[in-house]
Amino acid sequence: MHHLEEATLNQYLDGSLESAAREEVARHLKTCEECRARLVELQHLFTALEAVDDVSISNDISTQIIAQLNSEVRARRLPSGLYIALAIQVGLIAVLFLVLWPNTGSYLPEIGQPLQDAWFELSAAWALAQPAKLLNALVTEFSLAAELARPPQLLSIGQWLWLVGLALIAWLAGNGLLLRNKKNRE
Amino acid sequence: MSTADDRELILRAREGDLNAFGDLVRRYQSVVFNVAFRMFGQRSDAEDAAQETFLRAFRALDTFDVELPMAPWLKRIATNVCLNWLASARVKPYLTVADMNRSGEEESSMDDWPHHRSTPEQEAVTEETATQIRAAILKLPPPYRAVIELRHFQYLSYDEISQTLGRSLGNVKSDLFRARRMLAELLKEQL
Repeated sequence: MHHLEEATLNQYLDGSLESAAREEVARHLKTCEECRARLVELQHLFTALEAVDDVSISNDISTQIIAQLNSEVRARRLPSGLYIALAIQVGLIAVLFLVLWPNTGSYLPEIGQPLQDAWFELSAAWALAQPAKLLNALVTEFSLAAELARPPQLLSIGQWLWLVGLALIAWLAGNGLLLRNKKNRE
Repeated sequence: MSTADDRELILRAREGDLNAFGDLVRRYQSVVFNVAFRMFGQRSDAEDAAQETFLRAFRALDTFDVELPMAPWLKRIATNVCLNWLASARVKPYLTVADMNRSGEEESSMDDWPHHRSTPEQEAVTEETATQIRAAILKLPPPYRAVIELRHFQYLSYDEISQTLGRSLGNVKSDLFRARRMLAELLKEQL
């Protein structure tokens, strides 16, 4: 006589068998004492597990959890000094821009038209498949870019050093605060 | 304690109201603690795991469907926290007899005894059986403990267990059936 597999008995008790399979198991159990005994043993285990009650927790853990979450929230906030450092850096950039702009304003028209011409030449070269013209336009554009890269001689060396020094201090202060904030968060 | 009450607390907690989250913790800390206690057998480890469960729950609060009950979700997180800690050996996977005895002394208060049984003698016998069953569960390998916890204490289906543990349905079933066989052997004299 064949007996029911362990998996079948388990699924039967778990109620996860299809109805046809379930009926077949029920029919077998009526005639097989050994399988009935195995089923009863499994049922006893299920009943015993259900009898395991919960125990009480000794301590209220909510206080520690809220404290932990509060410190995580605090660590995520940026220190207020960082905003001051950022404002100083933005201010210095604005000063540099204002110092350079009056002269740059007069400098730009000198290179604006040639840049436009170069770009037009680039487009025309692609459209007309003229590699030579394209190459020429590229060379012209890079020459102009080299011209642009040279800053105008507007300030004295001393004035430049002052501005660069102030910008460096603000940059260091800002990044120092950022690094400290990152370290606190780790 | 209704899902509607939980819903309001969850929505407030999502907005950053930590007091609201504290209320949720107080509501469910016992339930979560018991999952961990069944998995570890040690109160201090179970409390630590319960804390970690709630911290993870807070960070994942945005992903939780507020229309569903919160307890099953928390219990699943707790089960996975416990499995991770057992796998990483953050807690001892198997307790010695001394460990279990020590844990038993910690819960000797009458508050821990189940309240629905009639006589002290019956209560003592049932509590002893429950302790033996918990001890037997703790002798199972951690993956088997997890399937017993999820099936018999959290009433999940095979599919839900499979999703919770990230394992195939076939593996879940074979682990569960083997776990039951091992438990039955360990508890032969008690059952």
